Amino acid sequence: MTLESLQDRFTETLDTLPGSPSVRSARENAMAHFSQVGFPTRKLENWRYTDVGLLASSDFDPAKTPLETTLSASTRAALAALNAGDEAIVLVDGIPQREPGTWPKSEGLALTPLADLWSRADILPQPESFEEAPLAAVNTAFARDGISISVAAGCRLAEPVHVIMVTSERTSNAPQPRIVVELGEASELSLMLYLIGNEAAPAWTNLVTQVDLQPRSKLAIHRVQELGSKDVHTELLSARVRDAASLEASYIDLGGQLVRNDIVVDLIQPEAECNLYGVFLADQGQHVDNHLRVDHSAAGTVSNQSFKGIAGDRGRGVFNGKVVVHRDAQKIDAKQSSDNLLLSEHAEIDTKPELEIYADDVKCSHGATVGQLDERQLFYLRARGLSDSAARGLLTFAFANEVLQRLSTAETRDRVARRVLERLPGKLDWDELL
Amino acid sequence: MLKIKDLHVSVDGNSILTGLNLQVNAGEIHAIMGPNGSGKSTLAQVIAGRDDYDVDSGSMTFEGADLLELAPEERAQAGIFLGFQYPTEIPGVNNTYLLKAALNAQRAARGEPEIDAYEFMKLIKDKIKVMRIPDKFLTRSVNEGFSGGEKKRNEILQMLVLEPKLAVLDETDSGLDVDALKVVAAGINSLKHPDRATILVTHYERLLELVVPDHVHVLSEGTIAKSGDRSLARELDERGYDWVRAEVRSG
Ligand SMILES: Nc1ncnc2c1ncn2[C@@H]1O[C@H](COP(=O)(O)OP(=O)(O)O)[C@@H](O)[C@H]1O
Ligand SMILES: [Mg+2]
Repeated sequence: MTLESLQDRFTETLDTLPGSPSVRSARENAMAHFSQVGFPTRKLENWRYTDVGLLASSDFDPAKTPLETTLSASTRAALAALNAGDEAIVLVDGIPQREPGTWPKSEGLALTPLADLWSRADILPQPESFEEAPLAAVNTAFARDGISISVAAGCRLAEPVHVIMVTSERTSNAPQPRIVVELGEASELSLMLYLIGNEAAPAWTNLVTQVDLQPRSKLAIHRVQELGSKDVHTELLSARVRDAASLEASYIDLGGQLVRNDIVVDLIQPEAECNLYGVFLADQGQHVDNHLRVDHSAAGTVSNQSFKGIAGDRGRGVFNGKVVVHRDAQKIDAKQSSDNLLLSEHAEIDTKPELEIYADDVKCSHGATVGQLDERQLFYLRARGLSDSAARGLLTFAFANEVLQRLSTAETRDRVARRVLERLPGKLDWDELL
Repeated sequence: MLKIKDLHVSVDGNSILTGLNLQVNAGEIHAIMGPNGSGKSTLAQVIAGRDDYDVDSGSMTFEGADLLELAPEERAQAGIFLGFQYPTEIPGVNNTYLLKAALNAQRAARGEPEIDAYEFMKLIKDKIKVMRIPDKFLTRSVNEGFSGGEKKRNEILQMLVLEPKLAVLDETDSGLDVDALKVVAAGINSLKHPDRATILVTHYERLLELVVPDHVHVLSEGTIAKSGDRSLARELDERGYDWVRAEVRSG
């Protein structure tokens, strides 16, 4: 949808979007901002390798009102296959399915549909860093709903909370969901986030996840993206991490045609920490771009970015990781690594770790590699009798598995491992590899 | 079993082997000795099918089949085992998985079914005892973080599980202390069989005191410069290699 029709659609639907007057004015500001900057183009440094022109030229419509949708049999089967348990929170086209009583109940855990929260109180979307992720402004303007997950101070949830986002099969589908995660002091939560698409109707999902971690809290987000082969996915994870709190995120991207993940973390108080991991598998026609920015705004903060990419056929991948160490943020430790495997001569991966340092007592390391499988390792395995394809599949899987094994539930880890193996040469059996 | 005739091998245009002849029959143990850089590892790797090396001319057959036509895995499946001088570390690939995948690949090539999980574990437990390898090595990544000696024992463990017809062991003895050398020698000797053969590539005579060779060859300047029985190994140990080179030069 062109910028012009997007503006028109905003004017037409604004009255139907949920929220208090202040939420409404936040939407208007966001739309005004986006009207100025427009869809990002490759002329912008941050978008050099990723062309989202497709969004402006296709008929994706973020304003489309959600219907009572029934999911197709294949989508329901995909949902069931996740094995995420009966208590999983399902969002269809960004709208939480309210089946009272089925959402997890746990002391200190509050789960609320965002539409309710926005109407009841002046809870504004956090001022997004639209500069980093301009499409987050579209989400702020059009978001209809989503889920708020908050954990009370001192509560450590033993079981992960599962959130599943699916898209229905309607045309020009462009959900703009939002997830808000707030952890009270010294609380702990593990969040499993699944993104599932379908092959019948391509969708553009434009997700914003806001995270606020109070002192000494701990959040782990494991996000598994298995969208359809024609789906577009853009996403901003925006996190503020306070005093000695820690954020771990692992991003696994297997599906989608065009995927752009922005992860923006501000370590705003001393000793705050983040560990960001990712792995993608991009085959024919797929493009996956991971764009990270970590701000060390306080002393003693620690960050680690470790992303892996695997591109086969004509797959394309991008890693752009930035670490900014602000003035007076002394004694910080920042690590960045981007390791990439090209499985075909037509595949391409661009990687760019960046450091901006305005303090003097810092420890930073970064490394980036783009290469093929190690010939010596391949020969060793073949000399033991493994076929060339089994050896290639095994080495590629081992490369990806460093990230996959971080998935905190065994069901998800096993399922994702199988999905990855299916797409690698040799078609190795996960049960044997275990 | 193995027949190598007039083998010429080069890397990036540099000749390494220049007309090498070697015949190994079933039931035999051959030792190949020679100074550093004489081409011993090149020979071992070429037998196993490493394609970094160009075979410019000559022939190499194994039980009548043209080895040069076979991929490395086909050679392994035919019963050739290379014990690497520098075993490769493979992070993320489980040692036991490799043993099982290797064994099953060879069984499949012979038309046999996959080994039963229980039988396999029994076999492995047996063999690690022979090699004095602690259980915990089974769950570790292949060779990752292993000491030099542990890597060599792991190579022999793989050999014991695969029971190859022809084992080519490239300096499996180097970097081993006396006790580890005894363990490795016992492992090699346990496979001794009239249908099997072994080529030991080594610098030192001390392994040959424990695994007694039928033939000893000196590889020098790209060819087998001299062959003899085990007494040649002792002579080399005492006198070094220079005299062999001198003998070759003076014809
Ligand atoms: N991959 C290679 N590329 C270039 N030169 C090589 C390579 N492998 C071996 N060589 C050279 O070939 C010669 C023989 O090496 P090698 O077979 O390793 O000897 P040895 O095992 O007897 O010590 C040496 O001069 C070595 O430098
Ligand atoms: Mg050598």
